[in-house]
Amino acid sequence: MNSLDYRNQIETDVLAAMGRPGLKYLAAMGFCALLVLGLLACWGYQIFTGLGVAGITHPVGWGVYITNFVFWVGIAHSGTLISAVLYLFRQPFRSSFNRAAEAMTVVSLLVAGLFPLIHLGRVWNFYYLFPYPNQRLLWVNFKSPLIWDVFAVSTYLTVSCIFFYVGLLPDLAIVRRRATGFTQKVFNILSLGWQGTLRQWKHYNKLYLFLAAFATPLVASVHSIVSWDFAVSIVPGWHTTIFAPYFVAGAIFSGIGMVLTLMIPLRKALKLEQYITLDHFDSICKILLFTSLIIGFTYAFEFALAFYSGHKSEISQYLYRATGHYWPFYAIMVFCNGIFPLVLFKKSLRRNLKFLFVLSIFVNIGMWFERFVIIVASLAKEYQPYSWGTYTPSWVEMGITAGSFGLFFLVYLAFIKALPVLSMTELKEPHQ
Amino acid sequence: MERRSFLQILGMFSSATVLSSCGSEKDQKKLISYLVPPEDGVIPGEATWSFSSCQECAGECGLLVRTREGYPVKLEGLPGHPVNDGRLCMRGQAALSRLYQNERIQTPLKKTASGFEPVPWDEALNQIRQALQQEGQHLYLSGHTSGSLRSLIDRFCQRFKADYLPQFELLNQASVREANALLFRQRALPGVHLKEADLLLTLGADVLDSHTNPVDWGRQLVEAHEEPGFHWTHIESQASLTGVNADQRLTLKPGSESHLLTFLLNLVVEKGGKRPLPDDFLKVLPDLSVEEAATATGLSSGDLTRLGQRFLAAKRPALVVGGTATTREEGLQTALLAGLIQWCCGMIGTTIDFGLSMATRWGDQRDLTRLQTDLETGKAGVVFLSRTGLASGLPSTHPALTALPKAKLRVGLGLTLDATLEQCDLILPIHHGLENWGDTEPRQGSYGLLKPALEPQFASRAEGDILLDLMQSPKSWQEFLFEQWEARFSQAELKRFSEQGYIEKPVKQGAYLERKAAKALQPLAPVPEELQMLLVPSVRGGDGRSYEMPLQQEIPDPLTTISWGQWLSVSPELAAEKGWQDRDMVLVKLDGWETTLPIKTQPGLPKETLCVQLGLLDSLPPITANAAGEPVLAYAVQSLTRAKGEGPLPILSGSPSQDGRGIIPDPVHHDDHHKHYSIYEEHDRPNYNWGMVIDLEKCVGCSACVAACYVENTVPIVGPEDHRDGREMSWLRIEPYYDDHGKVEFLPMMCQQCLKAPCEPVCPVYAAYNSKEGLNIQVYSRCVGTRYCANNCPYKVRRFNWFDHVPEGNLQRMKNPDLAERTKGMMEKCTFCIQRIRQAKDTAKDEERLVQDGEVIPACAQTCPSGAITFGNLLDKESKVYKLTKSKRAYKVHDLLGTDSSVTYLKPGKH
Repeated sequence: MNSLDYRNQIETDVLAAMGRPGLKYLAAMGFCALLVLGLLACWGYQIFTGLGVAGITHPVGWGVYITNFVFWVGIAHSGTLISAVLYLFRQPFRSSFNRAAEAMTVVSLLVAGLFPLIHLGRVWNFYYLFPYPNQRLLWVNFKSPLIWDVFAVSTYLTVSCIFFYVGLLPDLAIVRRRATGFTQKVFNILSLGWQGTLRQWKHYNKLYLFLAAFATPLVASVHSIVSWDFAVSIVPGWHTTIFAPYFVAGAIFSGIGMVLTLMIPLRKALKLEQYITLDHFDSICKILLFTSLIIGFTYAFEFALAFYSGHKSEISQYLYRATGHYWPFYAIMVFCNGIFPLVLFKKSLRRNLKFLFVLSIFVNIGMWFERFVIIVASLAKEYQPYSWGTYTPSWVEMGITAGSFGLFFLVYLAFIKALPVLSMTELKEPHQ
Repeated sequence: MERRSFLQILGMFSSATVLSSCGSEKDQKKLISYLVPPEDGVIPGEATWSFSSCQECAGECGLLVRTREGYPVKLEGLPGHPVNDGRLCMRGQAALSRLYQNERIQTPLKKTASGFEPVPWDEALNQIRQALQQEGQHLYLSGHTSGSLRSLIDRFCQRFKADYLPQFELLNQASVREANALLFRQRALPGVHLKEADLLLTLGADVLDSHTNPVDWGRQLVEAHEEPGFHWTHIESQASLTGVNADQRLTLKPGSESHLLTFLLNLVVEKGGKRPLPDDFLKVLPDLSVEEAATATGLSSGDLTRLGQRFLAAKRPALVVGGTATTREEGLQTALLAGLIQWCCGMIGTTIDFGLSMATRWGDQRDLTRLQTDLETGKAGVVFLSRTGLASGLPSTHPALTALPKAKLRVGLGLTLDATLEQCDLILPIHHGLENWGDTEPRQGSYGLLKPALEPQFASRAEGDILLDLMQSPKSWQEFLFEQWEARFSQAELKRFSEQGYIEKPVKQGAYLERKAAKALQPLAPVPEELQMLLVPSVRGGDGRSYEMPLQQEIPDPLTTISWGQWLSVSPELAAEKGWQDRDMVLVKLDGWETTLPIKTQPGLPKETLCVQLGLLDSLPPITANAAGEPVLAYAVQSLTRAKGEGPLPILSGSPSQDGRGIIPDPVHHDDHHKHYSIYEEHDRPNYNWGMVIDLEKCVGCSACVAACYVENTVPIVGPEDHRDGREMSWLRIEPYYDDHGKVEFLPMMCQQCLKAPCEPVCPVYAAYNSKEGLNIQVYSRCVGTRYCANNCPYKVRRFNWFDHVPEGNLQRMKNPDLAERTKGMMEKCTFCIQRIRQAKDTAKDEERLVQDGEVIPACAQTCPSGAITFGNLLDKESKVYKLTKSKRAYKVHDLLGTDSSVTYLKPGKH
C-alpha cells in the first residue's frame, strides 16, 4: 500500500465515525439527556427552596458539589498533559489519544465549571465573583483562593478550547473536502479557510508549539490553585504544603483513568484498533503507574506530617479519616489509588484491555472518593469539639452528580459524531 | 384637560390615598398607636421603654420593655428591681413570644357540638352572670396570682359566695411550706441572705433551674462568692444545672435525703447548736451513725464526715431543701428535719429570713381534692379556671380533671386554647401581661408594676375587667388598681412606684419553734432499693409550661445539648452495663404507666436514678401527693428494657469532651503565647476596638444569654428537623465540656471577632471584612454563599441560611427593626450587637465625644444573671473590659492559630 492509499485509508476509517448515528448511539444520547434534565430539575428545586435541600450542613459546608468540581477539573488535566506536555517531549504515541483527550478536557471543564455555581447559596449573584466596574466601587477579594479559582479555571478553559480548536484545523479542512452539502458549508466556516499551503503549515506549527508551551504550565498551575482552595485555609487536613503536587499528581492520575475508560470502548466501537494499539495503552499505563506511586507516597506522607506537626487537631483529623465515620471511603481511596494500580508493574496486565477498563473504573471511583474524604472528613472534625458533625449527601446532590456524568457523556458523544476523534493529520505524519 | 390641571388632580388624589392609608381599619386610629404616648411624641426608628413584670414564673422579675413603633421587640430586666436587678433568665427573655404567639385566643369562645365558636363578650358574660345566680358552690381556681388581682378575685368570690381555691402550681413546694407551718407557724418559702452566709448547703433545691427565682439566685451566688471563704455544697439525687455549678457536688441515693439530714441534725445536737433542740424533738429523733448514714445515702463515710465537719465549722451556714428532695413520699419528713437544722444552727432570722418569703397563696394537691369532692357530689356550680395549667401539670386520668364535666358551667380564662381550656364551656381570652395594667408581689414587701406596652392585639380583656364586669361594678380594672395603690402606698411611695416600676417595703418577721410539731416527725423510711425515675424541672421549661414557647426547645438543654424532644437521662454506668448508646429507645415501665423514650447518658447522674424533664413527656405518669400535698414525682421503675430503634433526638454537641484541646484550660495550664507574624498590614483602629471578656468562673450555663441573643437579633427558630441535620442558627451557644470525672464546665461560644480572622481572606467578595473598630463584619447583601468562611472558622460560629426563615403570622412583630433582613443563601453570625454599638455611637456623635465605657452592652451581657460577660472598648485603658483582659486567668480559645480574637475568657478556678 503506498502512502497515499494509507492516508486515504486513515481518513476513511476515522471519518466513518461521523456517519449516521445508530440506534445504540441515540439510546445512549437519550439516557444522558435524561440525566441532564434531572440535573436541571434538581438545581432548579435547590435554587427555589434553598441550599438546605442538599445534605451539606454545619460544620460540613462543602460536600459532593465541591468533590465533583475537583473531580472534573482533575479529569481535565490528562488531556492537556497528553496533548501539550507529551507533544513537547516528542512522544509519538500521543497522536492516537490527543484529540479524544483534549475533547475530554474541554467537556469536563465545562462540567466542572458548573459546580462552583451550583454550590453557591445565592447563585443569582454569581457575577459578584468577577471584578467588573460598578458604581458601588465593589471589588473582589484577590486574597481569596476562590477568586484565584475563578481565574485559573477560566484561563484553563480558554486555553484548552483554543488549543483544541487549533489542533482541529487541518482535520476540519479534511472533513470539508470529503463532505458535501450543508456539512461542507459548516466545515467550510469552521476550517477558517485552511488550504494546507506550506506557509500555513509553517505558521500553524509555530502556533501549535507555542500553545503547547503555554498550556504546559497550566497543567501544574490550575490544579495547584484548586488545591490551594484547601491548603490556604486553616482546616486541619487541608492546611498542608504538599497539597499542590499531591493534587496535580492526582489530577493526572484520574485524568488518565478517564482516558482509559473512554478510549477502550471507543476504540472498539469505532473500529480504530489499527490506530490505537496496545503499545499506546502500555505507554499511557506507565504514566498511570507513576502517578499512582506519587499518590500512594502522599497518603503515607500526610500521616507523617500530621504527627510531625504535633498539633492535636491535625493528628486527630488523620486518625479520624482512617478510623472514623468515613473510614470505608478512606479504605476505598487507598486501595483504588495507591494499591490496586501497582499491578501495572506486570507488562501483560498493561496490555490487557479488559483488565485496564476495570482498573480505570476503579481509578475513577477511587479518585472521586479521595476528594470526598479530603473535603468532607476534614470539615467533619475540626478544632471545636462541640461542632463536630457528619454529612450525608441528599437525593438532590445525588441527582446533580448523576446529571454531571450525564452532561459529560452527552457532550462527549456529540463530539464523537461531530468531529474527527483522531488527529488524521498527525497519524499521517509518519507516512509523509 | 390642561397639563396643569391634570397634575393638580393627580396630586390631590395621590395625597388623599396616602393619607387614607395612614389609619388602621378599625376606627381610623393612627398606624403607630400608643396607649401612653411618650412626651415628645412618637419618633419612628426610636425605641421607647416601659415597665412591666415577667409572668413566666412566680419569681416575677421586673421588666423593661423595649417598644418600637408601638410593638414590644425586646424584654430586659428592670435595673434596681429587688429580685432581678436588670437581669432575666432564658424564660424571661423568651416571654415576648407568648405575647405574639399565633395560638392566642382572639375572641370569647363557646363550646358547641361542632367545636368552639366565637361569641360576643356580652353574651358570654351574661351566660356567666345567669349561671352565678343559680344554686351551687361556685369555684375559682387560678394559677399563681399575686398583687391586686388576688384581692379582686377575693372580692369577686365574696360577692358570689364562691370558693377561691388556693392557687394551683404543680411545683408547689408544699413540703417546705407545711414544715414551716408546723415548726414556725409560717406557711411560707423563706428567702435566703446569701451575702451573710459563709456556707450554703442545698439539698435537692435546684436554685439555678427553677426553685423560687434563678435570676435572683444566680446574682446572689456570684456576690456571695466574692466573699472569701464562702463555700457552696449541693447534694442531689439527679444531675441538675444547679449541682454542676456548686463548689462541691455530692450525689446520694434518691429517697435517702431524710437520712442525710438526720445524720446532720444528730451532729448538730451532739456538738450543741446555737439553739438547743427541745426534748420533744430529741425523743423522736432517730439515731444514725456515720456508717448507717453512708449505707443509706450511698455517700462514703469520708464524704459524710467532711461534710459534717464543714457544716459544724461554718459560722453562718444556710440550708435550703426542695426540688427532688421534697417531691417525694417522705418530702415532709425531709423538710421538717431541714427546718430543725435551720433552727438549731441559728439560721432562722439570720441567713434564712421569713421576711423575704415569697408572697404566694399556693395550694397543694390536697386542695384539688376539695375541688374534686365538690365536683363529684354535683355541688359545683360555676368553675372558673384561670391560667392554671391544670391539664398540662396533671395526668389526664387525675380525678380532678375527670370530674370537671360535672360542674354546671366551666369558664376558662387564658391566653391560648390549652388542654385545660379545652375542657371548658366558655373561654374568655385575657390580656397578656404586656397589654395590661397590674402589679405583682414577688416576695413580701416588694411590689412590681405592670404597665401596658402595647394596645391589646385581640378582643381580649383584662382578667380584672372581666371580674368587675361580672360584679357589675362601675369601676374599670385600672381604676380599681389605682385605688388599691393609693390605699397601699404613701404619695412619695406612689411616685417612686410609678417612676421606677417597683418599690420595696421590707418586712421584719421573726419565728419561734412550735414544740407540738414533734408529733409530725416520723421514723425514717427505708431507702428504696430499686431504680427510680424522677420527673425534674429544668432551666428551660420550669415546671414544663415554658416549653409551650418554641424558643425554649430551640435552645438546647445546657447539660445534654438536646434541643427538641423528650428523652430519658441515664447514668453512664447504667448505659455501659446495658450496652446502650445515646438515642437508643428504651421502654420504661412504672406502676400503671409505661412509655418508650430515647436515652441520653448524663455524666454525674447517680446510677440509681433516671431523669425526665417536666413538660416534655407526651403523657404524664400518675401523680400522687405526699403528706404535705406536694406532688410525688419520684417513681419506682418496674422494668427498663431496650425497645426497637433509635429516637430522632437532636444532640447538638459533637463531643462531650474537649479532647484535651485546652479550650477550657485547667487552672494550672499555662498558655504559651506565640507572636504571630502576618504578611498583611495591621488594621488601623483609631477610636475603638470592641472586645469582650467572659468569666467562666461566673458562667453557670443557664443560657439566658442565648435566649437574649435570639430575641435581640431575630435569630430564626428552625425546628427539630434542621437541628437533627446540624443546622441550628444560634449565634451564641453554651458548650458543655465534661471531664473524665463527670464534672462539667460551660463555655459560651459566639463569633470571636478575630482581628486576624480566618474567615475574612477566604471570602471572594469581601462580604466578611474587618472594620475600623475591630469588628468582624458580615455584609449580608454582598454574601454569595460559598460557605468558605464557615469552613475556615475554627470556632464554628458562622451560621448559614439553608432556607428562608420567615416567622409566621403575628410572630413577625418580634423582629428587631434595627437589623438588616437575612434571606436564604446568606451567612450570618454574632455581630457584638452592632445595632447597639451604632446607636451609642450616634448618641456620642451628637454630643461630640467618644462612646464611654458601659454605654454599649450587647444583649447577652445585659441579661447574664451572674454578670459573667463584660463588653467594652479595648483601646480605652480605663475600661472594665481592658482591665479584665489583663487578669491572670485570661486566655483566648485556639490562640495558637493566631486569630487574635477579641473575646477573652477568664478560666475557671478562682476558688
